Amino acid sequence: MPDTKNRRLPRPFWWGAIAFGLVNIPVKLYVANRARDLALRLVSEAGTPLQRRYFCSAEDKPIADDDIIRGFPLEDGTHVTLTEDELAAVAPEKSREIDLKSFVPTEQIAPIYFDKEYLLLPDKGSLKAYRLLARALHAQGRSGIATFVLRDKERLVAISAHKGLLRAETLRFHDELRTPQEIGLPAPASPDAGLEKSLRTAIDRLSEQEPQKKTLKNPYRLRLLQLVEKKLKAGEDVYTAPASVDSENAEADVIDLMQVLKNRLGEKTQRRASSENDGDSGDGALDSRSKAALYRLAQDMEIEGRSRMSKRQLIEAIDRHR
Amino acid sequence: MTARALWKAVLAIGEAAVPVKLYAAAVDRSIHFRLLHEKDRAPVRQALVDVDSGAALTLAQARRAYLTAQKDLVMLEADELEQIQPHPSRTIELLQFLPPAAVDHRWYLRPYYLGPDSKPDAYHALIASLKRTDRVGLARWVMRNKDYIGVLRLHRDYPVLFTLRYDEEMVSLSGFEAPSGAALEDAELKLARQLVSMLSSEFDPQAYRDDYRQRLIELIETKRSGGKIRRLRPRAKSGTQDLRASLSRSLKEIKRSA
Repeated sequence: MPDTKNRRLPRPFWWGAIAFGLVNIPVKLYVANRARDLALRLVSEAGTPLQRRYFCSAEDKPIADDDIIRGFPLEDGTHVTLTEDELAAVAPEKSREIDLKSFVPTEQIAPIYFDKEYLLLPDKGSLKAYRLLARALHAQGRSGIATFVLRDKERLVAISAHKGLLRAETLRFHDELRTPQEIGLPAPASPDAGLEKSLRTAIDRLSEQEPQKKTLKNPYRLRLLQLVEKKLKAGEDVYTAPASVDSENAEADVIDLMQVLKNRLGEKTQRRASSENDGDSGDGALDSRSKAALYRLAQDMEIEGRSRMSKRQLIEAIDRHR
Repeated sequence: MTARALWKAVLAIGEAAVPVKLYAAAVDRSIHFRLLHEKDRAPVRQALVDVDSGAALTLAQARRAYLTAQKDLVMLEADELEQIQPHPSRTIELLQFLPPAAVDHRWYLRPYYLGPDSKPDAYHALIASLKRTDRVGLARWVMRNKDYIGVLRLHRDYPVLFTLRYDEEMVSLSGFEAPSGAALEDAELKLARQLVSMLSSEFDPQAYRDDYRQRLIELIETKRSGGKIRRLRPRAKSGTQDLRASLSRSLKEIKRSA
């Protein structure tokens, strides 16, 4: 196990409340899987790290994230721009609420509908209601279905319980799936009996109960690690990383969801867990926090204009936002 | 109208070969925005910046390196990376056939419909045999210079190949203890289960629609023609304290509206 000391805990991808009838359960939503890409770094000839930055195409200068707005392109080359607040007005009732309207047998959801997996963790004293919903869902093998707005897009979501945790899986809308007829696939035809028999024999021969673990590993990653190992042994092209190298995405310290889970779910440790690096909006006094911690909190809450705010203004904005 | 195939391949199942075409089953219908610089409305572009010198570089000028846990940077040459690329192939090799539940849907990434290619007989025989055996195939292939693993199974009697996440990408919850706390009260649990039961239904994917897309298009149109737009900053509702009372009231309301 890599050492856990220097890890940054993952940020919630969304926060809001689940509506279970009239019961509101404040939650935070986290991405459940690790990034797909291997941690290959882009570096300069001299081995200094390169960072992806946004540049203004007119001024040819790097710009801060806060100075970026979204524009919808029009035919004449101009854009209709939209701010966060304007976008939030599109479907305000769905921006911060997952209203569970119906509960369906989980096994009825065909795999083709499942898109991404997230974990929901209880927020601000909602642990009891959270556990209650998880128990009720688990007991009946059902998933709660809702639509809500996640990052400028309405998502269909199925919420189910697993090991006492609430799992949120986004589903593809029905019209986001093409039908075999649209694609032009042929209508079912009765198969040639001989061909079917030989295929079934081939399938039977390859039948097993469990997938082989090694099949599920990324072969490219293995080849890459072998190459790295070889070069390390030979001491070829190996440099000590400069202090400026950002280790946040290194494979050595991949997002430690388990740590967040432990922090947020143990009742005893919950208070301690609302520490600064958790980005938690917990119940701690905002005044006692550093400006950097307040800024991170403001980032999580997507408070606009945060980069220009003083500490006092940040505290006020966060308070208003809660 | 028939859709264009993304890729052509041959499924290799033991000695048998089934030529197929791949079609994307999922389509992206979301509205995409451009990122602009707020001050001058000019589109932004991404560039690479040397953290130490501040110099901007193009992707072609950048080199690749692997960062080890010990903070060693191992520089990798373009030809070295070239050598570990997978070999191009048109074969989708079926390695194992498994009970459908053996690979959880959480591993699934993207679905592709398979259509027949040169041997439609083999295609129809494949559908029939997947149906009869009630098994899903675990497959491996190389497509556009990338290694893939996938699951072959039927969706409403048509073969679908799902690409899979790799083991390294999955976060395992094994060893995780369920959240604990004071014992839940039986009365509340009973009410919660009742509420789930009362709101129970069958899963009907056609019952849910993305209204947001249409509303967003209308909002863009309003703003384009100079109309007034609301600004909002929705807040999350705070947690319910009296669970029992709220659950009882929920049940009563549903009964009344039923």
